[in-house]
Amino acid sequence: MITLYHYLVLSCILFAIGVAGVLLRRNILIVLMSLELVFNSVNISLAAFSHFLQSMAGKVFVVFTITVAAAEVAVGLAILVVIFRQKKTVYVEDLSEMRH
Amino acid sequence: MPLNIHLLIPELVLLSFIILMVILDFFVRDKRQIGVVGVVGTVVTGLALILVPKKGSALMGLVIQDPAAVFFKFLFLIVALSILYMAILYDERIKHWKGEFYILILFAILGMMFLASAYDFITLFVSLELMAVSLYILATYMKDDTRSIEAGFKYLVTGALASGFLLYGISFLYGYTGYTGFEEVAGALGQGRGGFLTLGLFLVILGLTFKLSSIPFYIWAPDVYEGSPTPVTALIAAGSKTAGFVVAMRLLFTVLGPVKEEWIGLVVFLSGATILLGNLAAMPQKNIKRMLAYAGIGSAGYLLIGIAAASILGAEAMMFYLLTYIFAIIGSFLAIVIFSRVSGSDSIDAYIGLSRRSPLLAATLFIGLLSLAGVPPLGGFIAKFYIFAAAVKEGLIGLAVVGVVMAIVSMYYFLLVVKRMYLIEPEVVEPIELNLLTRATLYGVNIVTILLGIYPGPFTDWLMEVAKDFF
Repeated sequence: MITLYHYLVLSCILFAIGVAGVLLRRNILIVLMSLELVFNSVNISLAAFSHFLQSMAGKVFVVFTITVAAAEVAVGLAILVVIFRQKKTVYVEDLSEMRH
Repeated sequence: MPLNIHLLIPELVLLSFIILMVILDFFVRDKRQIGVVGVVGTVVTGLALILVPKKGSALMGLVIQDPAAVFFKFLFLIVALSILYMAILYDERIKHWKGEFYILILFAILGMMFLASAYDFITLFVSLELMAVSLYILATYMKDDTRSIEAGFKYLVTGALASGFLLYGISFLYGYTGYTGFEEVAGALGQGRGGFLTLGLFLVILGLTFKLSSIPFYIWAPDVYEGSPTPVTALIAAGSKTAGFVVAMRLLFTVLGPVKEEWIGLVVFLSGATILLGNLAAMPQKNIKRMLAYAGIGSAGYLLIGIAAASILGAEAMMFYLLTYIFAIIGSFLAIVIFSRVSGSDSIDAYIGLSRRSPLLAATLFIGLLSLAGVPPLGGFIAKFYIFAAAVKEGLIGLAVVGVVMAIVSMYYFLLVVKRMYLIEPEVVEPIELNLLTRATLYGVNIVTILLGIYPGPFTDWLMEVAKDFF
């Protein structure tokens, strides 16, 4: 029997992997992928709560989250393209012009 | 619950003007005219806001209208007017897609206006992201300038991560209560499994600190403030921070007020740490925008004292603080935008002898910075005074002491700029020409800041009434 807590543990693990990826990885593409992982872990948690509480609001919320996350990553990829054209790099450590 | 779409007329007016600007962008050659259309749109929205009913809920309870929301919407429209004016002054520095610069500014303002009315987690999240995604694009706007793209990238990554925390927290609050509407959530408190509430609250507050630019998600602020085009910096400093505090007040006072012992400890800690960090880190800065970023982090700490007080006086103090803060930021950034057109630099050393070159510009920056520092005859002093009064009344003596000491420390770095402007002789003495409209704007902003300081009575009495809505 799969309970609510199985889903929550899965979403928690994915969230932790996502946050670690954003903070630790150096490649901008992987950072953006990790952000997707963070958003999708939230989706799992919302959908699981929605199912076990018998309430529709959570499923509606998931649709909004997916849409907004797509918009956010689209802007992220556009910025990545600009970064690559200007600096010929996809690594985070090359973006440190303003640290005095 | 009825739709009550008429409560949203101001937002719809603004949206229509934005669409009009998008269409005009195809035909108009001089893109500054699109900015002027934006200014007209903002004024019409303001008139609509005066006429619309001040109480009620619309779209099946997804948004509400109350005097507090109306007050913050007016603040956002004031921000919109001044940022559009700055953007028109900044026009020659923007190389690509000039028209869309104004359009994106108003999209961000639209997001903030919806945020002031948000009464459901879904509305809150979508309007927060409408504002944030517009700001990510605006921060990256100077795509030939490597500092601007660096700023935009850092803003996006930290912002999206903070949104992830906020959403994860919301999912636990949803799991705890089974609702996303604020009213239902407030009604269902105390019925679910307690662990979810604590976890949800913790994550939501951490997620919100990004918009407030306080600890722990403050790290983007200095780089984004320095690298972004200056009107965008002002929009982030004045608008985005205010929007963050509206959400924080609505969420923590109205919805989660009954369980305040769960979150007060965390807010007190964040507040004290943010005040210390912001003011101490501002001292060695060489770039004025970077210095204002740290000063803004310090201000976020002071505003968090108001949240920690969690009383009507605290809410009133925060609203008055945000009012004076917005005018101080507008004044300072107007002066910075105008001066950087002449000097091409944002370094603090470039401001040497500004009072000889343009007394009005120097006076505007002087008044703006001293109001931020909280010097007696200006609005910022009264605001800080109310914040400390609220803290002492709720027994937060320690926080008030830290706040007062750091307010004195903050005088040091603001006066470093003032010293350069007034006491050191410049090498270039060529005066800076200001046209009539610019001079009138600068005088207007200065008069408001001084007026808020010497005659705050009517404003504070009115805000006291407005603040009662939160509880």
